[in-house]
Amino acid sequence: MTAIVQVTVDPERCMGSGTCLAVAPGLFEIGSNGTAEPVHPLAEPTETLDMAMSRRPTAAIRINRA
Amino acid sequence: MSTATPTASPFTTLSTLPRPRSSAAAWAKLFMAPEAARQELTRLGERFVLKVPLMPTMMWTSSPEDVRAVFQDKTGALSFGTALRRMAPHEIVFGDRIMTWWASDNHTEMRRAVTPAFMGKALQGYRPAMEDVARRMVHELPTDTPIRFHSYARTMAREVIMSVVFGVTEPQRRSRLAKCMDDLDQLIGSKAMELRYAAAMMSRGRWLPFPALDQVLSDLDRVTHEEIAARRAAPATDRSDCLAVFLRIQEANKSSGMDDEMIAGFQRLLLVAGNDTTAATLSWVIERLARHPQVLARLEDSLAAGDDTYLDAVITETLRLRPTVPFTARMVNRDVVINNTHLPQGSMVWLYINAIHRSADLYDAPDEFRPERFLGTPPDPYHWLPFGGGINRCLGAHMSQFEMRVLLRTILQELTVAPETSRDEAQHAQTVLLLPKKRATVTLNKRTGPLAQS
Repeated sequence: MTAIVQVTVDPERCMGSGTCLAVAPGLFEIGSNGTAEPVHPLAEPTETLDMAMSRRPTAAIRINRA
Repeated sequence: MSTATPTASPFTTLSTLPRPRSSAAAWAKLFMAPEAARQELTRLGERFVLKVPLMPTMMWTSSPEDVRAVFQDKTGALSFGTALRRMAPHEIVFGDRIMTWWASDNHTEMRRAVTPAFMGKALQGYRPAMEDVARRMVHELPTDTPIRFHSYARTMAREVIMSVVFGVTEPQRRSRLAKCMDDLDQLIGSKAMELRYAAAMMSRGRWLPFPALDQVLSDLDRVTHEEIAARRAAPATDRSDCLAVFLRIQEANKSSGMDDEMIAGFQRLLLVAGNDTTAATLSWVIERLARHPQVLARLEDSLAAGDDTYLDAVITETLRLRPTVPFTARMVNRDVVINNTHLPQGSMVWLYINAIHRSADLYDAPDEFRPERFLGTPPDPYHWLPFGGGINRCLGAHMSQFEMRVLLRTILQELTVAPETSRDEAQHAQTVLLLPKKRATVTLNKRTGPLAQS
């Protein structure tokens, strides 16, 4: 069984550049306030998600065990 | 106007910030002698003010805190679209609708809609065409003799645009597109353009008529519209160029505002924004590699091992030391306070990219070309901003880095750059871009053995 993690984006830190959309296609979208939002707030911890975490330019994305 | 305010302001005001002896001279120097301007102006401190006749009061800053405040601004008081309209040639090239969109609330909506064209899966779709362009170029590049690499870089960037953005294959239409791009290059780099640009900056962004430019742009749009019509007449599902992606967006989201005219506008935008900038950075990479044989050697070893990490670091470091766009700006739409400094409505804030990237507070040995600094350490978005940032960060940033990676890797498989002992090429301004002064004059040699199996 795979652990499920909770993905959150801090709208205060996010500058809405779309980097996470590039490195983790399908996992994030740009919401109506111009900042990134997770498509699935609860997700399986995948390599792509790790990549988005490591590349997040403003440390706005957080991943916690659900 | 310098009347004292009746009550002391709790904020720093622009009038208290340092100013060069002559703002007008400094302003001219920023364009004409970018390196000398940087050395001189950064002596004033992280922030300084320019008051140039007929221009908005400008606060220039190389403080990462200001960069953060500008990029994270969610109040809407700072506008990139308005700044472009006022200070850049974008309006006459891209048209009123694109610029209106840029400065409007719809910006986020449309940006979200077109983002997929520049990301992940779409990029992989563009790869074969990019590799093809580079492979053909390998055979055309003269070896064993000094060349101005920039003109070849431009050819490559243009071929990529024609294939990847426009996807025009029908020979007659493709040659018309090539002609449009030629004419546009010539007009954008012309004295007529420079004069109009200077006049527009001093007249609140009003441009003098430029019928020759209008003609080329309308020819260009005609090519786009014909291509769209041809595709509608003979639909194919296997197309992966930007035009196809835009048409799919249009199809999927009728209310997105993505009509054919808007698509033509975006194609123009990609053509102009993606051509010269990418060609300039490719040239700078080659200019840097020729003067740093040890970096080239390490790069070749890493490519031979099938690893792109060092290549990415080389591109990132080149964009740091030689950003093609040396500054970005925001227009202050209403009074705002950033980092305790009051910016009045109608003033501007300029992020001095060229100075930020060379700050000794942010980088060790900031003048040295050391790609290693970015190995395992992605650039900080408030210290490294060749593509701007925030909601206006260049949409093509990933695409352009992807393209440079593909082109450079393919070329370096076959050719190597001979060490160059002459002085570093200076940053030389052409309209708004900084190019290598001698257009990356280098000598390429054929590799004796293959670098790696790709």
